[in-house]
Amino acid sequence: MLVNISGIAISGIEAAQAQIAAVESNVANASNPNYSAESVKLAALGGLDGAGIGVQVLGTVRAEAPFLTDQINQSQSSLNYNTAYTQVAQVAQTALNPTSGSGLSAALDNLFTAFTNLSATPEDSSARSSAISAASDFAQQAQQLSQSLASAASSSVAGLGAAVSQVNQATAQIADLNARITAAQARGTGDAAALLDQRDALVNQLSGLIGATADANGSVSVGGVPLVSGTNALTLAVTGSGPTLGLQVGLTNGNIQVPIGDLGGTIGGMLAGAANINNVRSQANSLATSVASAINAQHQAGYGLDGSTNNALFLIPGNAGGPIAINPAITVQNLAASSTAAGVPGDGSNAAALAAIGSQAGVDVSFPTATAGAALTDIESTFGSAIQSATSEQQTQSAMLQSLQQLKGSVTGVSLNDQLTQLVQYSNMLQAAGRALQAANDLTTFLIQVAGQ
Amino acid sequence: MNIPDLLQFNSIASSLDTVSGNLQRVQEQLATGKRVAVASDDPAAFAQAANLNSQQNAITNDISLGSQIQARLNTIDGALADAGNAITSAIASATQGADASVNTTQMATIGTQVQAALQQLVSSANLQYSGAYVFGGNQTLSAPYSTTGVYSGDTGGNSVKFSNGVAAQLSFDGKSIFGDTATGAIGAMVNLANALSAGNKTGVAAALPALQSALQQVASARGALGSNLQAVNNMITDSNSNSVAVTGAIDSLTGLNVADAAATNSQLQLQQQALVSLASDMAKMPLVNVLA
Repeated sequence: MLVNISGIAISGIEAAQAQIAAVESNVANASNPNYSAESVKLAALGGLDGAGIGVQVLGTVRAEAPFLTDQINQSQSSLNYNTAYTQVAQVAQTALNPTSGSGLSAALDNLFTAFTNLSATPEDSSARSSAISAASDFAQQAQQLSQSLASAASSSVAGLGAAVSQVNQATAQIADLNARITAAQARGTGDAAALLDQRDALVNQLSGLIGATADANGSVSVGGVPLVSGTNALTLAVTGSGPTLGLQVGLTNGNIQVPIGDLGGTIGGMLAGAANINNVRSQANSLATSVASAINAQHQAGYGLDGSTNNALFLIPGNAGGPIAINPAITVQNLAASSTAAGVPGDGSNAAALAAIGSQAGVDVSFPTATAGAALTDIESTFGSAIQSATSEQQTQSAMLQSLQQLKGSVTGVSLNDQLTQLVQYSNMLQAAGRALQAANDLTTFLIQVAGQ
Repeated sequence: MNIPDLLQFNSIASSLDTVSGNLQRVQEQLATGKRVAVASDDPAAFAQAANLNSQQNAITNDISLGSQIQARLNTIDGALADAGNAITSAIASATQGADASVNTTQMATIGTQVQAALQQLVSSANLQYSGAYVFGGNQTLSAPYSTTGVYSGDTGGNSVKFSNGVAAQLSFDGKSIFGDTATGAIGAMVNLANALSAGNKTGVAAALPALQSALQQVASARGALGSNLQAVNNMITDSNSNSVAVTGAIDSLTGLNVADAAATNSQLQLQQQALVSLASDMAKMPLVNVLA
């Protein structure tokens, strides 16, 4: 009986010490965001007669919330995607809507206004110069916008290589951790918990980088394409450039293209932003080219002061992809304001017809019911809507991520108040077990004394 | 729910970020006075405002161009008035020259006066505005009439159309207003001058109805010009009203309600201070500090 008291007390001391150690570890990691709170798993020891004979420390267990972890990874992916998208798209928006009041939209208005003014005084050299200047400005603004958007699209993916390197580093670490976790779990030692924490953190990093997901065994994939398979990490690489920019994963039997539309995280946001900027650039170039083509057709039908005709006001690239340029051969003399054959300097009807293009719907066939100005506004506002949606989604995901992290934290995180309460409790347990041992010791001493008398 | 300390701090930091971001945005809006600066601020309002801005540009140009055309038409009206005076003077001369009491010497003297009136008429018909001849049809770079009244213009007439559809004619077929050596006011005055110098009273008498008809022709042209001018005046008046309305519409779409923004600014500043204070107090709250 006395032996049992000592044994029970000693097992209690060991259990309390293990729990205090777990609390100490938890408190030490209270500010470690990747740490999951640990606790000690205990089991009662039963005697032959059914009475308890102490407590057994089975091991240290890690608090887990796998569903919330998946949700957090998804939310992180969406947050980073929308953050990256918003950042790159806002640069393009500044080019599209310059706050100074200049830009393609203003240039378009000024061009048609200049044609209207030219129609009033077609023989006036200053009105003719103004019209040429407005046409030149329109072409320059179209060129500048095209270049700015190309630059924005290019700079938006400037960090792609570095981000892909981070993905490859993380996948290599996860593959290594997978092997170590399997080994630790096989050994039954407690260090698997710390390794699982590290792997969770890396999976979260990958979710934020590219929207990857992981299964319970640590195999990682994105868009159905594997990045980590067990203990093997597959290498992600950038392919192509500009509109053909993409990602591929090297497999033993060849490369597989990662579906861009399925990407999340920062990389997905970068690529989606670049694709949208390229699309807007293409639309803006197409619009400018359509306007220039319509103006050229009308201008070529008119006559200049010098009687010349069939002169193009703009130079349009053969592929119609823009950007356009003013025809350097256009002068004050051959600008075609007149629709009548040579020798009628006061006829401004061709200039009036040029001005009327500004209120003509369907100049750009992609916008059959809109004038050129309205089409440009449509392009700008549609792009703005995409940015607004991304910004709104970014805010939503930020709030959701915070909420999910709090939820998960309530399960896996370390609360100092909670830990200190537990510390007091385990200290009391340790003291109680110590006193039980002391009592057993005192009783033994007493019995020895009694037996000796 | 037991929320770990780290997450409580993260939560406060995140809220602080959000509040600071909103505060920055409101302060930018207050600095610029605009609620919508770029499309993503409010795409629908941006699109409407962009279309209204385009309208405003057209209206502003209409007003500016309309003012120039007003001046031009007023000058043309003055020239037509001068032409009318010259014809009236010729009618007076014809009446005087047709009188039986006037001898051939006196008729020759009157003929000289008619020649002067004819030159005045030709001068009016050769009116230039900003370097362009306005009565030569579309031949605006050369004088439409020679000193003898030969017309070298054409029958064209240039006009301009404003953004609201109002059109105004700016150059005119001079021959249909003043005629030439054989027709209209000029023809009648040439015939009158010839008749007076030849002492031909029958010819002088015959010139009178032609002159009166020519005067009517010029008056009619002046009346049409007046209608033209009135249309431009009305267009400018309407455009000024529209400009005010469009500016108001743009302001209501993109402008900032300063009172609301100022109140939001104060509220956000208060929230920011509260969060900073909360974060500071949070550091003192864990049980370890209580137990210490």
